Formats: sequence, C-alpha cells, structure tokens
Amino acid sequence: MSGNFHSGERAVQQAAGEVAIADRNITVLTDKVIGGARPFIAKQFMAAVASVDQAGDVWSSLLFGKPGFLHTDDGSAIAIDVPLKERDGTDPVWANIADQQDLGMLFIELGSRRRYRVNGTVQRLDDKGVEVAIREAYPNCPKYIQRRHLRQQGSPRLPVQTAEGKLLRGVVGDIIGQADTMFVASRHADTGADASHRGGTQGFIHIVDDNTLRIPDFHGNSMFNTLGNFEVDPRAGLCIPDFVHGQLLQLTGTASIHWDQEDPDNLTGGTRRFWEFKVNRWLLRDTPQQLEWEYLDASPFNPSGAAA
Amino acid sequence: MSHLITEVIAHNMQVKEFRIARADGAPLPDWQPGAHVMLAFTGADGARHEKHYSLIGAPGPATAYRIAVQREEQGKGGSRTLHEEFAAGSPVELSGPFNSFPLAPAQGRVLLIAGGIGITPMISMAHALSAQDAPFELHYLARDASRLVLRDELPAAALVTHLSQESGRADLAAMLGPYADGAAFYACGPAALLQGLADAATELGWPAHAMHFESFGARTEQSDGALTVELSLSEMTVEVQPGTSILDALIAADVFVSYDCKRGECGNCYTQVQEGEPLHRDVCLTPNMRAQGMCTCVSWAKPGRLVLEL
Repeated sequence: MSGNFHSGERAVQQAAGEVAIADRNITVLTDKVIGGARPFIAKQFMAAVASVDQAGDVWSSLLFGKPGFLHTDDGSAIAIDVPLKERDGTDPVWANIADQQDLGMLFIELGSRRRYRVNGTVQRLDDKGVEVAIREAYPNCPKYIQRRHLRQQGSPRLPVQTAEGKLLRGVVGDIIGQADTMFVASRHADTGADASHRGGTQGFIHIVDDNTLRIPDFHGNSMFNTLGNFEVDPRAGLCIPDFVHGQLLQLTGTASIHWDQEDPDNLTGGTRRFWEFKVNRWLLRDTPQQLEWEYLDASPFNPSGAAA
Repeated sequence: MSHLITEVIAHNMQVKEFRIARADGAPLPDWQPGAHVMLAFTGADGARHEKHYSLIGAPGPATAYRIAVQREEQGKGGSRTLHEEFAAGSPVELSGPFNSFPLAPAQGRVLLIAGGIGITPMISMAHALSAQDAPFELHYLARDASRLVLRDELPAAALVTHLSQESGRADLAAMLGPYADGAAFYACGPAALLQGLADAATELGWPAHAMHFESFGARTEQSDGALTVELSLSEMTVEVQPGTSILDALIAADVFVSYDCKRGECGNCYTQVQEGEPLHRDVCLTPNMRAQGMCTCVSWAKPGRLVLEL
C-alpha cells in the first residue's frame, strides 16, 4: 500500500487547503481490488484507460467489450480481454502499452454513477489481451456523473473512420461544445498513469482559442491525483465522447492549473480553480462497436452556474 | 503513555476543560484554527474510548493543548469517564492535531455559528480572524445563560448570544441573511441545528461551498426501526439494525460503495434511492439531491422497503 502522496499532489492539496481531508480520504486506498468491486468490474462493458506514448505524451482512451471482458480473480491483477483482431490500431493505447507499461484504468458505470479507479503496470500483452498488475485501487464518489444507459452494443467493425489535427475547429469544436462527460489521463514518473472522469453541464469545457481549452475544477475527493500529476508533469490526455454519433475525440497536450480565478457565473462551484489544456494533437475516431446510449439525467451535484 | 493531563478546570456543571501536554514536556506540534485531536483513554471499568475534541484557544505553537469536554449523560461513557476519573497527572494517548474543518481566507462576510459545546472550534477561528483583522460575527446558541462557556475567550464585539429558554428557537434565516458574494459560514453543533442551517441557507441562496460544517453527536432517533435494504444492482438484501449506519452495514456486507467523511458532510456516499422514504440527516445535500438519493452514512429511512441503486 502506498499511503503517501507525491510532492505534486501534496502541493495542490496545500494550495487548496485540503491536506487533512486528503489524509482522511486516502484510507480507502488499497493495493488490491476490494471484494465488492470485483463483480462490479466483471459486469462493465467500458473502461477508460490512461497510457503514455514513446515521446512521453499522455493519452486517454475508452475501451469497450461485452460484459466479462474485464475481470480480476484475486484482485491483484486485472485482465482486459480485447483480442488482437478486435483492437483498433488507430487508438494510441495499443502502441503505448507495447512500449510503456504504465496503465491507469477507470471502471465507470455511467448508468449508476459508480466508479472504481485502478492504477497499475502491464505485465502481459499478447494476442488474447492485456493483464495489468495493480499498484493502487480505490472507489470514487458518484458526483458530476451524468447518467446514461447503454441500450445496445454491436460487434467491433474495423477499420474505423479516423481524422486527426491540431486545431480546435469545426466538428472538433462541436464535439467539445456538446460534451457533458470527459476522461482525463495524467501521469507521474513514480506512481504511473492515472485515468479520471470529469463531468459537468453541457459546455463545461470552454474553448478559449484554436489551441486551448479551459475546464472548471469542482470540489472532489481532495486527493488531487490528476492536478497533482499536472504539477509535476504537465502532459495530459483527454478523451471526449460524442455519445450520439459514436465518436471519440482524443487529445494530447499539456495542462496548467489556474488558482483564484474570477468566477462571476460560479462555473467552478466555488473553488475558483480552473485548468487549461494546450492541445498538441487530436484524433477523432468512430468507436469500433456501434453503441446506442440513452441519456437519463444530469448529476444533481453539477454546479448550477451558466455554461460558458 | 505519550501525554499527561496537566490541569482540569470546571467551567460549569457540564463542561470541564482539560489541559494536555507531552509526558516529556517537549513542545507540541503547531495547530491551525478548527483543528481537533483524538484522545484515547481507558476507564476504571476497562472500557476504552477514542474521542475527537476541538482544540480551544489561540492556534499556533503550543506546550499544552486545551480541550473542553461536555458531560453527556446519554453517550457511550467517554465524557463521564473523563469528568469523573481523570485529573491532573492522568495519562492519555493523544494523536493529531487533525483539521477537517479548516478556516479559508475571508473573502467577504464571515459568520461563526455555534450550538452549545459546538463553541469549541469557533474559539480558535475567532482568534485567527481577529489576528487577521477580518470582521466576523459569532453567534452562540444555547438553552440558557448558564450553558454559555468560555465567554472570556470570545470577542465581545462580535458575539451575539441566542438563548432558547428566553427567546425561543433562534431564527436561523435572520441570522444568515441573504447570500452575498464571497460570504462563508462555519457552523458546529448538534446535527439538527446544522440541518436547519443548511436548509435555511439553501433557501436564502447560499451555495454549498459557502457552508462549512463540523458535526457531532448522535444522528439516530429513538423511533428508528430496523431496516431491510435492497440493492437493485448487486441483487442483495442487507439488514441494518439501529445503531449501525446503513453505510457501515453495506461495507460489512462487501458491497461496492464509495464514501469519505462518514459524517454526512461530503456527499461522497450519495446513493440513488429507487424506492422508500429516506429520513435525511446529512448536512450537505440540496433538496434536489435529496429528491433522488441519500447519504447512507448518516441518514435513515421510514419503515417499509428501501431500495438503493447499488
């Protein structure tokens, strides 16, 4: 069990005045998947993952499969059964984990607002799938998750349509503008890669200019795993799903934290804390499986401030 | 034993102050406004107690910590043991200080609101605000004047007392007033007072981030009956007896749940309710949140089916 925070997490906790709360909350962290979370993982059809490419850039991806494709037997390792023929080679995660072992995982059930975060290292990658040895695991709270049910999932069809670019314009801007859900990847040299969720009202991800996004940082669990990683290594990856059109926008770039910002519309829910993301490159991919989502409702915890 | 009680001062019939220093006389760690310590001690009957107490006085460096303990006739016996059996020279185990109730830099109007012995963390906050020359109001609610303790520690200019025996229940809405940008309040006291404040403040437009609570005391009521909690996703049924929280029963049953504070203050155990009538005892949820779900750490439910989406 790694009970200590790294220097970046501590620095952000101190700046936010939440050190004591972080110390209390880290007691739920374990070095194995707790018993109650094992059946939860086994019934998931989706996982958000965080990986690092050869150049050190960080990527966030979403993987899909039939329930059962994610599983853990004794809680010390998690298997991701995506066979070689079902892998979309345009998703950077596959090349990344062949080269860099750090993998952050977030098992999130949008329909029930439950999530479980696991960080680890890839110990096996073969034609059948991936096995990840667990470094640390803990449940996250249900806040800011918009509820969606998956009605139907098709079989993977490859290759998929992809596009790539650098500027936040056109369809890319539209996907960002409609988003109420995104996934963030970050990493730290000692503690590995981390996959995290961010949600808010539609428009909570603000496009500042062609290269820059600005995202309010709400009250969380005070541990600041993501912002703490940014403090030490600013490289970040975002994955923004378009649930209606079955597309994933994956962006890689660098993030910076902005404290004590003017916030007249209360976009931050009172933290006055934002982070900005400078885009180096984006990929836009169709999901290999056709997914039919049903939107249920927004989180009652979303700050009520007007969307920017 | 790591620490010793060095002095005991009776403030009234119910409240005694204990001063605690390290057994070797070395200085204690600096502490912040709102901080508390955990005391562990064993009574003559062999019962071991672990209790959290706010530190009183001016925060900063210290050679002795001060706590004020109210004797609770209904409690589990920890306060009675301290009152009856502990005196100068008695050993105790102390850990901390911890601070789950920190004072943020003032950005507007600041209100400190204490119910009864909930005055204890407000003393250090009042000291800190005075030292910063930040204006604040300190509202002290109690049954009657004999219950007001530690008045010498409180800045007279900021103090407003509300005595329920003289003027009835305090008008919380009038005390809070409408929300103004940058305002914040800090409240400590019985859960019922904190719930009342949360409800009144929400009504007056106070956002959740401007409300800070430190709760204590039982959240249970005599009328609470045993619950049968059905979990729709896990397809499980968990029996919960009064005296155990729903959350603790779920954890014991190895149900996949998230939680942090276990005091109804953070909302991280918030769970969707599919059927049943929750009795909300948290201090963090808005009416909109309560319409759909509950905090399983402190809230209970009326008799009948309680179905949670877990």
